[in-house]
Amino acid sequence: MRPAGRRLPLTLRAGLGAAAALLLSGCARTGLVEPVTPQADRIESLYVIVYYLAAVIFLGVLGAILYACVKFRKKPGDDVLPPQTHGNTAAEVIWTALPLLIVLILFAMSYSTLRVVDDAKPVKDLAAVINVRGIQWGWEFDYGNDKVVAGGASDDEAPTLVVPVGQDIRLVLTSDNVIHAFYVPQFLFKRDIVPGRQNQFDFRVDIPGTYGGQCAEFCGTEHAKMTFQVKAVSREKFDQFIEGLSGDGCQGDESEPSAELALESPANQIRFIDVASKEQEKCLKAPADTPVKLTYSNGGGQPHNVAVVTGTASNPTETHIGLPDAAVIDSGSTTYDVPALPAGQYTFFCQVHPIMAGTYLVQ
Amino acid sequence: MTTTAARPAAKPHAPQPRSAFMDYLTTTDHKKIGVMYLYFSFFAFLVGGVLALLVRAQLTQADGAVFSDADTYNQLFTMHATSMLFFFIIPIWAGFGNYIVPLQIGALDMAFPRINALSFWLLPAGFITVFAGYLTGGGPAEAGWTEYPTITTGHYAGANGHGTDLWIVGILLVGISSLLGAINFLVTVFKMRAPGMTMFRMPMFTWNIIVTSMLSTLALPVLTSALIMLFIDRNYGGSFFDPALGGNAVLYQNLFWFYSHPAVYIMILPAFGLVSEVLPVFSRKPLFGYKAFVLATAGIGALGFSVWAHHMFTTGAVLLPFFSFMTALIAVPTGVKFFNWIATMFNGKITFETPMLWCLGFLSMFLIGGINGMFSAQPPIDYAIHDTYWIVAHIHYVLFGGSVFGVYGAFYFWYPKITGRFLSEKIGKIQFWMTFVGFNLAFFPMHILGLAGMPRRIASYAADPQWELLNQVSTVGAFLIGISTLPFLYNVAVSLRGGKQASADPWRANSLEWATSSPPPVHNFDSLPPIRSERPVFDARLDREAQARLKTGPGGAAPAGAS
Amino acid sequence: MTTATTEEIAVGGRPEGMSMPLLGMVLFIASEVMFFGGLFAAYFNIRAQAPEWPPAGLEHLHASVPGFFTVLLLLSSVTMQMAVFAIRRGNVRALTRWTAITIVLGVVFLCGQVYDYSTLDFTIRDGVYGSTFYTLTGFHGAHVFGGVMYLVIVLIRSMTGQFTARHHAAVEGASMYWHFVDVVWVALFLTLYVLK
Repeated sequence: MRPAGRRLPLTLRAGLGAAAALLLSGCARTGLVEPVTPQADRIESLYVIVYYLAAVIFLGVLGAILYACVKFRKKPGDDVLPPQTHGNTAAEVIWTALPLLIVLILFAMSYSTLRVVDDAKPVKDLAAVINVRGIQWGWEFDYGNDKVVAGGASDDEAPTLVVPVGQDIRLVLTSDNVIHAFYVPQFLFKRDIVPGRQNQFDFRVDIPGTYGGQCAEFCGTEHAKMTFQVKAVSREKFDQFIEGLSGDGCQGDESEPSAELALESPANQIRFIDVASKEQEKCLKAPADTPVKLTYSNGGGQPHNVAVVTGTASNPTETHIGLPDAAVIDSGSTTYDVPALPAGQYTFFCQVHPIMAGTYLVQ
Repeated sequence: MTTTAARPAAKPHAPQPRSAFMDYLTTTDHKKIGVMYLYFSFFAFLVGGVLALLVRAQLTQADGAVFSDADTYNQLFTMHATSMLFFFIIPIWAGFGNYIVPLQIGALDMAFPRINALSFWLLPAGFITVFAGYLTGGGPAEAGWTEYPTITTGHYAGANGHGTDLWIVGILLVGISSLLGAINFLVTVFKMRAPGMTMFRMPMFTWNIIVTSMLSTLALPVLTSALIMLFIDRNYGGSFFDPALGGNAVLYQNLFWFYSHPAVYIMILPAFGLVSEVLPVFSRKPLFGYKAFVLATAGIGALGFSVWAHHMFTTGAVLLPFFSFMTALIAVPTGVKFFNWIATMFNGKITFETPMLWCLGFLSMFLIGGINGMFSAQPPIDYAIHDTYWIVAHIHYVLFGGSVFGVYGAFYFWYPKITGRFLSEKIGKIQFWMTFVGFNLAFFPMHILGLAGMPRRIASYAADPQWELLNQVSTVGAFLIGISTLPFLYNVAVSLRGGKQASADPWRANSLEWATSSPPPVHNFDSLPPIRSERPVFDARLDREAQARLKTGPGGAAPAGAS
Repeated sequence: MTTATTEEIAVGGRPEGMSMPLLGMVLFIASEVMFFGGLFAAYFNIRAQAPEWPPAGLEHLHASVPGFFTVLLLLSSVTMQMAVFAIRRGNVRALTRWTAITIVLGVVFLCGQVYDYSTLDFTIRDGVYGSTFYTLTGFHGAHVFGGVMYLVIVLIRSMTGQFTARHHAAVEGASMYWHFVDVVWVALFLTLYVLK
């Protein structure tokens, strides 16, 4: 059998290959995406320090291993035992104390970064406080005063959170269903949305632009599709946007109110569509003070119902039709009797998949 | 201890004709039970591996290459992790421990042989229970191996019914198996060591099994309580984790991770022990800093209880500085081990048989895993990389690059002892390099994906050409890992049929398992060498060779001391 | 140069210190402590975050009846210990007697638990108060039941003369387990019934 010693250089090559891969990825900005908030900048600084420390430790330790493999190979035919050293107390002290020191320094840097990142500004310094609600599987961005933008996995486009650039914003994160997480890679930040807890964080986007985000805590079937965008625009544009927001899915809808409404769900999909046009339905209009018959047909594959509430899907203040009377069906058709309602804006949604929501406008 | 005087000669039993099947079904012999653990756990590894390949196949395309139904994918990654963690990596070390620890301490068997058998049989029972989820209408558990409420407690779309309940019951069974095994190991080592074997002369593998067992004994019951509360919430109207009724969803996470963090030490410490056995043998030097190893192992065990909330940094419900500090501290005893392992090699005379290759692979890969863990130990950095593919990279570098490499090292090292035959070195080396390359191809790109913002547990991802390319590289690596198990299985099959015979001490090793034949007799030892250090077999071999040289005179050839 | 003989190896066990089964029981009890620890941790966590405790609509539990049964359980620990002392002196008849009394007291305690449950106006389904109460007391009761089963086996073995002054590990183990169950109950009683 060939002496195993000759095999050794492969280990060396593999080790060098791994080291090269690590260094090459360093060329790509040490791998991180470009940060756009001051908090993210601090995190990136910490990351870079840890990265280079890691590289030094990795190359040093791996180097020692490879060196030992090369230098202390057994020569063929040499059967004399090497000196049987059992240990060295001084060495133990040094290689315990030194790493401990490094750990302490690292912790100090990490702690000071954490203070900056998690710093909560006084409310008066905030340009906006926006409520973010996680639903299965989408988002509601509530700017206050009934100005809500909602959207998610069943929509063609990810919902957009609009914020003024260069100003401090607070997001208040709540969920009434399962745990989600608000994650924007370019903020180098995520925070869980935990039912029963109100989490919040402050940030400022320094660079105007649109940044992708998505849910980062497993939340069920369509977790992968729970994306959103953050758009940082000038303060003016932000104010205009808020003004124009009526939280109204009926904007641009030309249909007439009717006491006989129809809604459909295509097979195996989590969405409501218009029976005639087969396009996504975000608006139902009904006449004021008139009972309404809402015919709903489910193409099958997913259980749905239709509820009508005052408020939003995840924050209803009064339920006009809903479970258990507005029964969930797996397929086929059913008719829901919506009571007479005063003029105003309501929300219709599926109580099994609250992201299937739209505006129920009573005129 | 009874005296040796006046014992009536044991009546010879009439030979019992018994099928091998019945023999294994009813055995309480730690060696047979150990072998059953190894077979079962490796089977669970293959099952988990197939599930992983399906996961990786899905991710070769951004919009999901294989499964249009996200629920199916969610079940795949859940069952992959479940099979690997609960049915493979923890039990396989219990298997090696079962076989080897009594031998290493010079004992006849484990302290409680019948409980030992029960511990084993609970494993297939648990496995069948968990996987029976596939037979239910909604499929098996699908909310990750962590199964957090509230998705697992409410009636939320994407969290099925009976599959999750079966999962809970199956894991409870496995927990009992683990706990009983741990108590067994502890009593065995505390009470059944051969004369002369003080605690500080025990082999390092046994030490690591001890600390592992202490972790199991104290941490596992907390998981049990969490799973029981989850079951009550799901089935008996409980509200432990339901915020609407006064419960707390984060409470589950605290209880879960209170066990599951020490659990990762349960998964790695025996591998540390294996490395501490193999490096001295193939460097021909004693383990450098034996006492430091003992202290470091105990330190890791103790510290391991204080860091659990680093899995929860982003919940907003954690005292971040404390857990971040304790997590960073664990690097210190781990570093001490690394330095001592390298010092063992320094000034040695190293050969690179397959067990040694696996250990060198372990050292380099676990190094990466430990280092990338350093990043997420800092909460600000964790905010960026938590729940992304960076964490998946970390998990696999420490568990696969660490523990699984250790498992393969253990196979190659102890296989001659268990079977009396060698595994082929040639096939072993081919397998090592295939696994090494496949492993790095599979998991290194995940660092980059995590930094780029790809979250974990997603059935499809943003259509980005860089992401797709990295995912495809990763998939190729995963399939290469899959293929690399074939030479291993072939190696075992061929060797069992007629591999080269192994003597009692084929590696010229140190600890007591090498003081008996390969394989050992039923009663383990016909005689024991004197135990005066942590290397009784080494000492005895040295004595023997010195005696032989005395006989042949100066310049006479010393007989190879292997037999 | 001496080598250990097969006999010395076969006997095994360091004779000094605790016997193997007893050490096993100690470790098992340690694990059980951690199990109840998890349940207690849940209780305290939930209670700490509750705006009021007991939650609105529920009354604070009355301690007097369970208090009485607590005294009985404490007594049963005394009788159990008497059983251990008895067999250490080699007195099998006393062992049998004291074990039987302990079993009776244990069963009475369980009946008392059932009676207490019947007086309560809430179930496990009634929010976290119900969940924590019934889970904690229920699992404790299950452990008492397990202990009673263990003691019945000890009783039978005692009556068939299987214990001597030198060999009665099962009795020592049962006694340790029984004391543990008692201590857990005291903690439970104070936490659930007394603490305001």
